[in-house]
Amino acid sequence: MQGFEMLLYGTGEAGGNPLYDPGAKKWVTGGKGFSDALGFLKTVYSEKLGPDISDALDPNVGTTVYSEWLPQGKLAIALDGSWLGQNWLKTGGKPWPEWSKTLGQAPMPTQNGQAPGKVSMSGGWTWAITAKSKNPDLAWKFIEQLQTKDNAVTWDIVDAQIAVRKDVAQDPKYTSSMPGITFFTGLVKYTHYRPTTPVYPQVSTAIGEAMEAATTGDASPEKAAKSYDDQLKSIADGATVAAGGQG
Amino acid sequence: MATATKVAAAPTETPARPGPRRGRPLRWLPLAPATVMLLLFLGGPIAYCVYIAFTNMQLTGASSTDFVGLDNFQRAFGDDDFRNAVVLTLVFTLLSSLVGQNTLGLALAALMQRASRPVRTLTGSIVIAAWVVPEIVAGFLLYAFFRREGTLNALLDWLGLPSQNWLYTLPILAVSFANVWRGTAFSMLVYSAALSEIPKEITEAAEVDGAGGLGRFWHITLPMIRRSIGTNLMLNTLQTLSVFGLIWAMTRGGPGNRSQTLPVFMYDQAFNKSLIGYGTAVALLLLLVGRCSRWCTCG
Repeated sequence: MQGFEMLLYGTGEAGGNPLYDPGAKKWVTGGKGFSDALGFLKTVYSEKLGPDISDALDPNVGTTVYSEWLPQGKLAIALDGSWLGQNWLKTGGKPWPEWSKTLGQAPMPTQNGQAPGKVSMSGGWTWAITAKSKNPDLAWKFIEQLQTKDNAVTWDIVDAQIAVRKDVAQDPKYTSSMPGITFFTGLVKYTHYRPTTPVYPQVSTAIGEAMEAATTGDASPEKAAKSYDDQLKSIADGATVAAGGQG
Repeated sequence: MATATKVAAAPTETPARPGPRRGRPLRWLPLAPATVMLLLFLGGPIAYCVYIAFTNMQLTGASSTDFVGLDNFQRAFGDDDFRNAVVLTLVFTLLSSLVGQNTLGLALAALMQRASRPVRTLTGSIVIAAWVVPEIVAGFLLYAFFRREGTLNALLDWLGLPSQNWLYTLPILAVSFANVWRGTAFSMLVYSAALSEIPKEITEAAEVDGAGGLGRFWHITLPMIRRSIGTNLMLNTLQTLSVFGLIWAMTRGGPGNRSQTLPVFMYDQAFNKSLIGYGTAVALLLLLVGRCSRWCTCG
């Protein structure tokens, strides 16, 4: 199951940190947004607005979504990402080149429509030079070469990346490279990034467990949020802060 | 004569004593490369694995690695998920290895002994085909069999019986069945070989004495193949304890952790949560469970 963190970052005020406070380097517990986001998921599944929970928990559900449900018109809304279209290329897992005539895109709204109105989550990557590099200057030149405008445009197109540079994002070659790309590029300014700390993989699993408990009805959203908080305290080794305590 | 033996014995004894001592390192020399290779590539990783189990090493790279003593093992015994995995592993092993593969394999082998040649060839090749396909292929085949739109539900629908998502409602049973499907051939082969070793005269003698089919099986067949049963049980149990790909392909240990056996739990800790130290400690504990089950089945 995924998509929880997008819901979570859509709660609370603009600029808030509902998951992790990077300034204080502490994980946030007891947030109202957290149990609200779980409540949203519970509503989706308990009121049968989404697929059957046993299908949603199937390890191969992601494949089913793009190869069967969406092309066969069995699913109306997929909370997914820019990468979904890659599966429908002629060389993709399920060729469906006319998908963009059937499907449109809409941004996820914030919980109550509060500013900035939209929410998105992004992954990310970076070119880096290791501190132990024997030739950092050459490595730097290499990165410079990779990141000339033309090269960055080519790279973003061939790897189906969403541009984060304004000059690349405006390049006609980039904006016409695949359907929906201008839409997704427009979301970059609203997007959030996951915390990059060594314990994040464990936090992510704890979130997954809370989601499963809330959606299968094993626990109420509040109870699932509480047990997430308990887990978080042991994962983060005490580096947590109560939601009310942050600015 | 007495002096002759004394004299004769003396010269043979004196060079004999230092002989092997001087010869030993030389005799070991041809084995040296093999020994070094074994120590390096077999012993090395094992030693490193044991070392990691006592550290808090993480795969996320950022933090330093410290020696933490028995912390990982203490953590495992206090971890509900670990206990859940141990129970599921025992259920999985009991159901699929002891009850399933072993009994079914013996039954198949016994039936095949009496079957005509074409039936024997056909059954044998079908059962062995399940064993020959790679684990991940078998995993996806059985995933397709058990899933909601799968073959099993299609069959049940056709018979007018209620269908369900087996991988969601009874995940541990589904993966146990998958392991039976895949592993029975091995037991069947072992038992076919064992059964064909039983001399005809003994069975015939029992028949003359008035033993029925069940009596012959209980008093003749089972005692005569008991060594094969022991070996087979041991191999089966060890294989089943380490089954990973099959479960990973079918359920990924889910839903929740309801089919998370120890190997899946170990992988989840070590590679999903990046706690390689803890995961390795669990691997060592799994080794211990395997060792115990070996004692149980082989005495």
